[in-house]
Amino acid sequence: MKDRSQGIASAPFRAACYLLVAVFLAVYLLPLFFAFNTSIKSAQDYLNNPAGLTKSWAFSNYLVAWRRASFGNYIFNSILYTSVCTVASLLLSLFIAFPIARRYVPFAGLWYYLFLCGLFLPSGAIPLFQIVLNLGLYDTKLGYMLIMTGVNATSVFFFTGYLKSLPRDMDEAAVIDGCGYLRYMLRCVVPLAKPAIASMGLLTMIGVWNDIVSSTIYLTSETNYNITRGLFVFSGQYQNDWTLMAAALFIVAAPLIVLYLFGQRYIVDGIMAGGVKG
Amino acid sequence: MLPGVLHYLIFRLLPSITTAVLSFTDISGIPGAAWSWIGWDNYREFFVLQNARDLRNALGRTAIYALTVTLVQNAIALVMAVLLNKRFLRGRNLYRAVYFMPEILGVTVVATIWKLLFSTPTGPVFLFMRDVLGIQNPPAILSSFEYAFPAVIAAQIWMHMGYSLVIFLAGLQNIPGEIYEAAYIDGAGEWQVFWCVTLPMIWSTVTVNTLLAIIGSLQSFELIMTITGGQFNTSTLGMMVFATAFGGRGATAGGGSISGLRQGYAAAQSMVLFAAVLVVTAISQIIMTRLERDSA
Amino acid sequence: MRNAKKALCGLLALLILALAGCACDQGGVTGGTKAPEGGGQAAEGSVQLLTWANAPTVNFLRALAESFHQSYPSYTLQVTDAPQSEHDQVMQTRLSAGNVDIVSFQQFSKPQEDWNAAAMDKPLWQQYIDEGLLLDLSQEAFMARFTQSAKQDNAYNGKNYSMPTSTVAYNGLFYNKAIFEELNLSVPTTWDAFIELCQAIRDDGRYAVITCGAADQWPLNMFATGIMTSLYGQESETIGQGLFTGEIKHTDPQILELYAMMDQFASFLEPGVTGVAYSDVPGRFASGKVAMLADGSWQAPTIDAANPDFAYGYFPIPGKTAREDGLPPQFGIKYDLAFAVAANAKNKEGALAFLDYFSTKEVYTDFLNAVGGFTPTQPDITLDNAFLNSLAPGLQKPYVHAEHRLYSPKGVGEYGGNGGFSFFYLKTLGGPFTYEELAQRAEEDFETARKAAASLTGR
Repeated sequence: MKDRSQGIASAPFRAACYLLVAVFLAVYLLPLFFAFNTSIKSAQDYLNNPAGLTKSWAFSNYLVAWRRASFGNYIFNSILYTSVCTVASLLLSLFIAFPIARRYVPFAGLWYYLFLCGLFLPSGAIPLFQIVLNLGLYDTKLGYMLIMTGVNATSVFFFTGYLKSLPRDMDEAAVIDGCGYLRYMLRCVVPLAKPAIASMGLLTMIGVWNDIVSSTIYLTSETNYNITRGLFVFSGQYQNDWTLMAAALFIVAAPLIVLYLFGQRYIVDGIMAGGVKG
Repeated sequence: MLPGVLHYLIFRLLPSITTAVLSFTDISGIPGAAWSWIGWDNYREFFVLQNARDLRNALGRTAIYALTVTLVQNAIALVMAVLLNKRFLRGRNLYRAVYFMPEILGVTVVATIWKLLFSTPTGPVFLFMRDVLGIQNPPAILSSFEYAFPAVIAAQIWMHMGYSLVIFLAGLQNIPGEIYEAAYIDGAGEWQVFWCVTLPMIWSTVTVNTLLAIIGSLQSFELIMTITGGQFNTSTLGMMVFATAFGGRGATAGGGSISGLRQGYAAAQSMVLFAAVLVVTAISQIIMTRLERDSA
Repeated sequence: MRNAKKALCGLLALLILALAGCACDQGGVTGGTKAPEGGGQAAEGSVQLLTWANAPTVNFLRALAESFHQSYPSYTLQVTDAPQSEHDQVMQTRLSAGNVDIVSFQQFSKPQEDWNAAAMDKPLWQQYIDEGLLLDLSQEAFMARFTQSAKQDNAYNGKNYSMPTSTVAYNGLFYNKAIFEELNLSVPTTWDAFIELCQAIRDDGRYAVITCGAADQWPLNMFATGIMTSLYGQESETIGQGLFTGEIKHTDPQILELYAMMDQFASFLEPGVTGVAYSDVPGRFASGKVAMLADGSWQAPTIDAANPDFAYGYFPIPGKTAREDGLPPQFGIKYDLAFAVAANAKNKEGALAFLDYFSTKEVYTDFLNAVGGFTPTQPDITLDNAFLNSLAPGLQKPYVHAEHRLYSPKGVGEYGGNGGFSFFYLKTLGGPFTYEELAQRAEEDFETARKAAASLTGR
């Protein structure tokens, strides 16, 4: 009787629930499993029996794919892009959110709408391209990172909401102590906002790591490619080397999967909060 | 605060607004090429010069894409969210994590998985059609005019369902348990509770999700670009804008390419898309409010 | 707040400086896996060459960079290749950024001219020349090394803006010599003989008849124009123009004949051909399960790589009747890989020096031998490549491939794609139409587009 909010939930109903959940688990896990299984098959094994479980355990596919797709060249770019853009985005958003949350700027309410606009207006990719082209930043790492450093409405709202919940007395204490603004932000606000930063940081990282559209538009030399672009080009060149391609896709996805395993809670929190507020 | 706002204005708002301006020019991505104001020519080319049947088909595809994705994705996500909110279910966080996975994997990886699944003649879908369903010479799904588009839609739903699900879950968790308790004590069944308690309580979340899905799917072209490249009648308006501006197939309504990075023309297409987004958003808002009022 | 601004600005400035550092290092764009040679000293005389990804040519050019540097110590060649699907885009943007010296084109064909200006945009190459982005090479000494016809076929306004390095044949079929021998088949010289041959292979039942990388669309559609080349020969030019202006209809009997041939051809493609990826066909053909591969002559080295011991030949799709002059069926050719120099090149002298070096007889011969799928555009070149030499009988009076004769009006509907000759709408390949219906639809789409263009220009 402890859990009455669940009603009686008859046994058949429970069974139906489990069944549905299981069906969808299959829909989501089978493709991933098939891809993984393919990635550890030798080419011959795959040709002979594409659907069967691997017999060859060809983990060497990962090495071959790594070399053939030149991921070694791209992964450092991806790490550079992801880290710089994430840190920059977070700092920019945080510094916008704080004054709004504290109402240290006039018309705090209006800012909300300014950022809301961004959600609905067209992407502006074309003028952006012209700007980047005319600044001479086309096909440069710097240009790409400027593009990918996004101050988006979601993170501003999210931070604003979070910072509002922090006690205001601290600010005053800081002023009395003569603590500088920047110092105060970095020393006091940032540590307190850690969970929020983790959420938004992970989401931004995922977005930048996975970007394919901007990297297609702005990066044309192989020396600047990020790893997803490497994967896309690789999949065009080796269209039917499925074992290698499967290995390549797991190489690209591996860092994200690891991040996801450890940061799932923050990622989901970030999206939940964004959804409810946005 | 200033750098952030400046960055936002320069790299987000300004370009958005300038798109409208560029749509009246013949500006291109070609080096140093002169450009000029050409009035409504871009719009005329889009609506008059382009084959009307193909244009209708492309707009229709865009609508089907947005509508199917919005309805199916949200319907599945809502049902699954309600299930995952049931306390008797064990391992709820695990299920949620799995359903959300494709969102993490990203477009390129999902597209590669999709191409693998539908590959001919070794992909599992092909094998299933041939060996289980007994179809002789099953079609190559991703290079077929009939099936390529549904396959891309399925990819979009598969990839983003988890996102809607998480947002629904957030909404559901805000519903106080006592309300359910009261309903069950009154003898309401699962079905009744869903329609009379759950749905009205999370209606605002449903609205948010619908809006996000409509806007997202009207503009989205990433999966189309990475899976079929806009070939085999899979190009939507969003894909046309991208391919016209930055090259590639799927730039015309009929799936062809346009050479010369005609960004002025692409900007005009982009404005058409924006208008479509506005209209559809407005209509769906009206429908959602009316539904809410009717049920109240 | 003020402090914060300052601090952040400082931070950003630092960040940008640091990044600019990285950007400068990478400024000289180089070919991916190959590390750029030397940092500082190369930048001065570096010649940037951009081409599309095609392993044999790219590998040759990269290897050539070294010997070029030895002959011209002040210059260093840096080769970048872009995936074929993105090459044009990359070229456009790098030309705009001014960080490329030598760019690559295919044949300069189908310019906008008076008769078609109303309903056709300028092709990319013509835009570039008209914008003054490409250097006029007509007066350069090295151009004298190329045949008159090669120069004529690529001239614009009487000038040469590109150096056409080679031609490829592409209305032909690779055939498996072992299978032909086993089934006692010989290379056909008429269309009917060709169909009989296909039927014989099908009747035998052990081998698929023809494969093609149809999942990529263009490899198959190129055979519509391939059959067109064989059927109409030099007449393709007038037919292409007539179809564009409406003087000739897609539904005319002479054009319906082409559609019928396409349909016949399609019926012998292996089942599921629309799912076969282009990158997969060399291996598929070399595995010996398919008797013929519909592809261009440039595919030969890849087939060799897939199976070095594999014996194959290449023959042009024959026309309806044997030629009256007694020659065997002739190939349709197009010019492949033509180099042009950017007018805003940072290193114009270096670029011209490279073209000069490349076109010297020894280097040029090495190039053709190494690439293995290209035939020469210089006279009196002797090759040691058996495959290329085997093409000679079909290259005595080659045609310009019909692809370069088909014009599509602006805004033409999907059924007008590929000049109205798209295989993919044929019922035979799982599409919606019979070939007569497709001809009808293609003509309707052409007509609609012509009218729309007229209504806009008449405004």
